[in-house]
Parts: sequence; C-alpha cells; structure tokens
Amino acid sequence: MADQTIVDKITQALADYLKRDAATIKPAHHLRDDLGLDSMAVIELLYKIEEAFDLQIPDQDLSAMTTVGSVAAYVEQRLAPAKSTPAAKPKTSPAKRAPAAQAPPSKSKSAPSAKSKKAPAKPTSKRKA
Amino acid sequence: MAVRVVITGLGIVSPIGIGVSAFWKAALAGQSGISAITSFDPFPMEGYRSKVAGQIRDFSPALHIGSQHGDRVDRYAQFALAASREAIADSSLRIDKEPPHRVGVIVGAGMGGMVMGEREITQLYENHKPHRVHPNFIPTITLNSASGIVAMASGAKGPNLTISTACSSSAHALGQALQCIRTGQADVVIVVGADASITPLVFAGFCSMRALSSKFNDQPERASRPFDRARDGFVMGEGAGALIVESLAHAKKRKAKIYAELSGYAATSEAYHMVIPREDGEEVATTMKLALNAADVSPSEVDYINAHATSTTIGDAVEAKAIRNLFKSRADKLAVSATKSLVGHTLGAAGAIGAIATTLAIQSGHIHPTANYDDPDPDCQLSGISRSPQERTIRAALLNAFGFGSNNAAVVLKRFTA
Repeated sequence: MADQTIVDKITQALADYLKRDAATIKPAHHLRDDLGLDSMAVIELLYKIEEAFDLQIPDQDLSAMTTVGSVAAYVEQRLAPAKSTPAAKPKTSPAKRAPAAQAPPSKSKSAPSAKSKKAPAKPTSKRKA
Repeated sequence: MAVRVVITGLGIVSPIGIGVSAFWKAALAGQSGISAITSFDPFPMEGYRSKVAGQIRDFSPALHIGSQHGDRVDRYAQFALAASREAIADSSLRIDKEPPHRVGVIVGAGMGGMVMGEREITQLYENHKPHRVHPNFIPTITLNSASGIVAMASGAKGPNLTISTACSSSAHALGQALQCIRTGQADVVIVVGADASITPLVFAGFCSMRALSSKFNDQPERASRPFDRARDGFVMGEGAGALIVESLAHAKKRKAKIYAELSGYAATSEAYHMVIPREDGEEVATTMKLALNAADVSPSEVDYINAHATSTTIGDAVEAKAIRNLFKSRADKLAVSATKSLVGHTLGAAGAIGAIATTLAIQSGHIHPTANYDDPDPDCQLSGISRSPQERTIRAALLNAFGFGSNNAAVVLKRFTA
C-alpha cells in the first residue's frame, strides 16, 4: 500500500484535472478505463506529478502506471531512498537517488508492485505527429 | 476534364544529403541520417528524455544559397531557399522569362523561425531590455518569412502563401498548388516544405509530450523505426523539400522534363483530438479515398504509398489499418515505405520530402527501404514494407501526411504518360 500522503497528493492532482471531488477517486481506478484520461491527459497528469514530487519520469516507466494506485506506488518507489523506512521500500531496488529534477532515466521496468491486470493505458508515443 | 499538372523540378536539404542526387543515393541505400544531439548549449542533455535527431550538419548558407537573401532569415528559411534554388535550376525554369505574376510560391512550415525566436525571447526575459529585441525578430518569426524570401530570391510574383498545419503542412502546400493551377491562378508554383526547429525549447516540448523516441539514445541510427515492433516515438528531423509544379500545357510549351503527374489531393479534419488519431483508421482511409477520387484513380491502380509513418506506436498502426481497410486484399500487394525512417520527422518539411521520394520512385522505378524494419509489428503488418530497396513500375502513388490539430492530407501522384 502506497504512502497515504502520496496517494492523497496524486488524487488531488487528478481531482483538479478532472474537476471532480477527490473523494470519488479511488486507488483502484484505471486512468483510462475508469477516469477517462486519454494518453495525452495521462502525460499532463504525470507532468504535474513530476513537479509535485520533484521527479523526472523516464518514458520507459510510463507503461507501468495504469491506475491511481500504481502511479502512487511508482512515486513512492522513486522517493523511497530519501526516507528511512525500510518497510515502505519496494521489493526491487529502487532507482538511485539523484539530484532533484535530474534523476537519470531508470532502466528498470519499475513499479512491479503496481501491475494491473487491465491493459496498460499505453501513454507513450500515441501522437499522430 | 481538369487541367493536368506535372512536377518538373526537385530540390532538397535533408539529414541524408543536400541536393537531390545525394539524398536519393543515400535513401536507396537505406542510410540513416539520425545522430546524437551533442548539446543544446548551455542546457545539459540530461534534462532531455530524447537525445537524437535528424540533424543537418554540413549546410553552409554561403555555399548553398549563395545570395544576400540567406543572411537575414532563420535556418528553416535558409533551407527553403536552398531547396527552391535547386528545384528551379533542375526544372530549367527561367522566371525572368515568365509573366512573373503567373509564378506562385506556396510554403508549408510547422514551426517557422524558432532559432531566432527562442534566442530573442530568452534574451528579453533574462535582460529585461525591450529595446534590445532584434529589429529583424518579427519578420523572422512571422510564419511566411520563407515564402516571402523564396519569392524575393526567385522573382515569383504570383500567389504567395504559407500553410501551417503542423506535420501535414507541405502535403497541403502541394495540394493547394494543384488547386491554384487548376483554378487558373498560376501556371507554375514553387512548392516548399521547410522546418528547422531542433532547438532547446521546441525539442523540450516534444520530449514533454512523450512523442519522441527515447529508447535508442545510444544507437541514434536505430531510433526511427516506423512499423517495427520496437518503435517508441518519432525522431525529430530538420530540412526542406521543394518541387516545381506546373500545368502540363506550360511544361510542354517550355519543353520541360517531367518527373511525374500531380493528379489529386484531399484535405480533411478528424475533428477528434489535438494529437491522437482516431484508432479505427477510418478518417485516414477516407482521406486517401477522397484523394484517389479527386485524381480519378482507382485503388487497383495504386502501386506505392509513401506513408506518413512517424514511428509512433499508435500512428503507424492506425495508418496500416487504414491502408488495409481501404485497399482490402490489395493492401499486401502495395509497396509501402517510410521516408522518416531515414531522415526523421522533419515536421513541416515532411510532406515535401515524402513527395520528392515518391516522385523519384515513380520516375526511377526504385523505392527506398524502410530503415530499421527488423521485427514487423503485427499491429501494422503490410507485406509491402521492406528494409530493402524495391523495384517496381508505379502507375499511381499516394503520399500521406497527418498533423496535430486532427489534420489529414493525402496526395496522389502518377506516372506521367503523354
């Protein structure tokens, strides 16, 4: 279970974006199927989350983020080294701590704890360009 | 019967060659023009998710433009000047011998003068000195600076237009040139597509959209891989393409060599989403169908499609699906190639550069390979995509171009027969 403050922050960001009550947004909600975010909207959400948590999220990590809970778990994993609560750490080794906003792209598939059985929202490269 | 319109001259500035012969030789060899971006001085590359692009490294305004016109325009307009100069020379068009108001210029540009644009904006916000904004800033970033300078350099005084529909800009420029000649506004149109915005801000913007490939930063030449299973976004490119388009009657009168016939065009909007195409491909299929109708060409006559194919996950799959929907059993009998696999996505120049590749394919019977098509993606499987060059007599070909803003264009080119 992801850190509640992280979940709250992400839920609030979504609530602001979707202009709906944060209380109606649940961790199990799928970003596309339940909340109706298209791929560009997912990217806009992640843009806000990057700012809120001082992160840089590499493209390769996007496919794991399909639900509100999986986004929270991912953020928690990325922030984990900054905290001294080993219990909160994900099973796999988290991305190395890096200077704020310049985190190197993670090679890991990341956020394994958050895998959804639903199809990923495929947020990458959906552009027609 | 509609006035027949033909292509009589070509010019190009591309990441795989400056000049048509260098471009075509490299294209047939499947050579990649994608390389690492070494720096956006003073910004560190670590902040950019994508670090590769189709960059033009050996362009010299003095050498390739050779006139006073190049000094005061942005990089994209310099490319436009160089490409149009080559195309005019290639067509042997003597504009000084033509009624000047019968020669038009139509340019497609997506971003325009962003090199100077970014520099001036940055300086103003850093220095807070409005009086130090360059006097040439406005004429440079105004989106018709290229069409203006091409007219000044060539003496073409006819319709002078700029079309900006993002990545489909110059396909529309070509289509609008066809209309312009058919409606009698001009005898000849210099069609140009140009963009050069591999700049710190624009590149960052495409990175932020997650539109660019970021998996192959260490192997730039593998990054642009339309229709391949491992594709992960487009690779930005820069360049310009120019085509001389004129009525057949005019071309005959001046005994011009004819590369191909420009025979139809369709412009549509998906009215759907700023950047995402409709996934069922119906709008793309409709656009191709309307273009074929306009050209009075049946799907059974089409032998080649120069696909828009930018190397994005969804875009390529939608286009392949649309081709299959429209051509049915013939879909696997068509040759299909993606010029962006070689030069990247040159945005506003893409339609013109694709049109040049299509024209040369029609004229020569050789179709350039689709680079990096190593592992065909079942989502966009078409038998006619090949990483090897193909040899084929092309009766009719389609050029596709789709742009942000839900914008689609398709152009039909035909083998010229008197």
